[in-house]
Amino acid sequence: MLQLDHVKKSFSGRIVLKIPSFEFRNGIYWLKGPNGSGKTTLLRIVSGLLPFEGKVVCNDVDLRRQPILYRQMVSWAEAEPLYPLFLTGTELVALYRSIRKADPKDVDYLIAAFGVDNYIDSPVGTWSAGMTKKVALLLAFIGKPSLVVLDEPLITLDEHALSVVSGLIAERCQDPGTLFLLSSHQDADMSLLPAGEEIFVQNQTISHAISI
Amino acid sequence: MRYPYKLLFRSIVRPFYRENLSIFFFLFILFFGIEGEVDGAELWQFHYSLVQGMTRQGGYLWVVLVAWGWYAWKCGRFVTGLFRRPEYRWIAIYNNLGKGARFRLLLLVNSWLMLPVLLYGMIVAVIDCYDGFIIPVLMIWAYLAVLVVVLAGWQLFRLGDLYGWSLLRIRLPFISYPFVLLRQVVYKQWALWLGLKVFACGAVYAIALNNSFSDYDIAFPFLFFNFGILANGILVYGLREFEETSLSFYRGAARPLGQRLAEYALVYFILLLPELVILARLVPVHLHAADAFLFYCCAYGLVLTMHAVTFLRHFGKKEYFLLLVMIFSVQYFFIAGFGLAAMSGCLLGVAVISFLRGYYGYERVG
Repeated sequence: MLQLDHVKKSFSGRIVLKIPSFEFRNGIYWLKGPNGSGKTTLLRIVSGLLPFEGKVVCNDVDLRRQPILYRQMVSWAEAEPLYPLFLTGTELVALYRSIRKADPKDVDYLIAAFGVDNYIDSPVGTWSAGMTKKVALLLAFIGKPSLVVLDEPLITLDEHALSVVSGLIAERCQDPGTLFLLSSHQDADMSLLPAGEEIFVQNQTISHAISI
Repeated sequence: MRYPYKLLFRSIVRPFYRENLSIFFFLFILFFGIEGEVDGAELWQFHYSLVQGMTRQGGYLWVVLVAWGWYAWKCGRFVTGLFRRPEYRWIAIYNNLGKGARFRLLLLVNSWLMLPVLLYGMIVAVIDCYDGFIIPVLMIWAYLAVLVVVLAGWQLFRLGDLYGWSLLRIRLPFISYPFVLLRQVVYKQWALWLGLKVFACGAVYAIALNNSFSDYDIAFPFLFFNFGILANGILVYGLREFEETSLSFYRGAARPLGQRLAEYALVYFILLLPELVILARLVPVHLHAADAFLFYCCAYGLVLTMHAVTFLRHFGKKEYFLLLVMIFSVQYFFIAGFGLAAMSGCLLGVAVISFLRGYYGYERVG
């Protein structure tokens, strides 16, 4: 469960987000909203990547007070991930695995599932945007995070990868302690994805929508 | 062949000269724009004696050859840098040409890029041939030819391997954050790092060598050494930029702040190893052990401070370099008032406090 309390974020004096109070129960949430509405900012805040005013608590762990414990529970994949061009996918996976203390077998399973084994050993500089995106999503699934934050997980993915992501989300959601926060600014083919709740990010705040 | 050549000329040679116009203008004024007399000699005589000194004194010639080699390397980096840019992806079409044709095109392009050096090489050739020194001319021109050929060969390789990174690959049996940062220095900033080391180590070594047991002074060596360390700010800034663009994910990793600080401390300890070695070499005759230790502590503290302050807020390049000048000024008065030991402690303290206070509160603006 993720709680936001008086979360406020400004950039150069301009308020981007002002959320009095909001609670995400475990499950899947789709953050919707136009460009510049603050979806990515919100996701970056709950991932512990941006400073903010207010309180963010996940499973009773306060991001400000227990930053390490909080970050142990969270994984994050960017919309347009960037990694050092000279690193190989294998090295990135090893870095994540060492940080998250994940089981090598689980990582091997993810590598096979995403079908990245044919290029994972090559440097990031040789990959296309879609290949990088797949690896970014793979990295987000490493370990057993309670809160998985995926910014625009559907863009640049091929159909196979889309079904893999969808399958993994459904699989992880069987664990009642897992919360997915996903963002999208367009209507994706939701038939491929597990059901979730839509949240609208607009007018600097967020509001519930309907189950899809 | 004309059209492929024209396109390469417009997309490589022109941007190169446009980008470096101010430097060439400065060098031209420095070498040829000085009116009147230089040290009692006319401009022609100035160059005449310059060339004579170059080809008659081995040491001077080596310096010039290294400088020309460095210029060639800069040209090569510029071109391969262009090859990697998204707007230059079209250049892959040249791979449809035969290897020989591509090589000839690149030879022409590189001859244009090396034109300032080649022109000066011609002046050298005229003067030396006039004086009857044919061998140095042949050596210089053989060297210039090798530079142009190697450049063309290197670019030919990169053109065929546009997205490949097969050269200079480092494979380690383990991966850690400090080594990712160090690899960035190895891949992208090694020339800068080397230049900084040559300056800081060379300055302190050359000046401190004058010290003896009877005639001992640390103020002057420290001034130059400290300036060399301060110049590491360019490297620090580059590393932080790299972190913000390509390693932003690491901020979200579950790592204690102390461990993060220790990782940065390890990176800068490794980057400052040459200074440590040079200072150790100067002990005990040219530098007392205690002074060498304080020199190093100051250097280490200064580099860590330059790194840590970048977490307090986002600094633009100009702002950051202005900050470095301010740090230098503060250091100057601090040393005068309190000495090296106090400054070392203070720098280390500022670094730790700035890092711990700033790390999680930092955000990049713009």
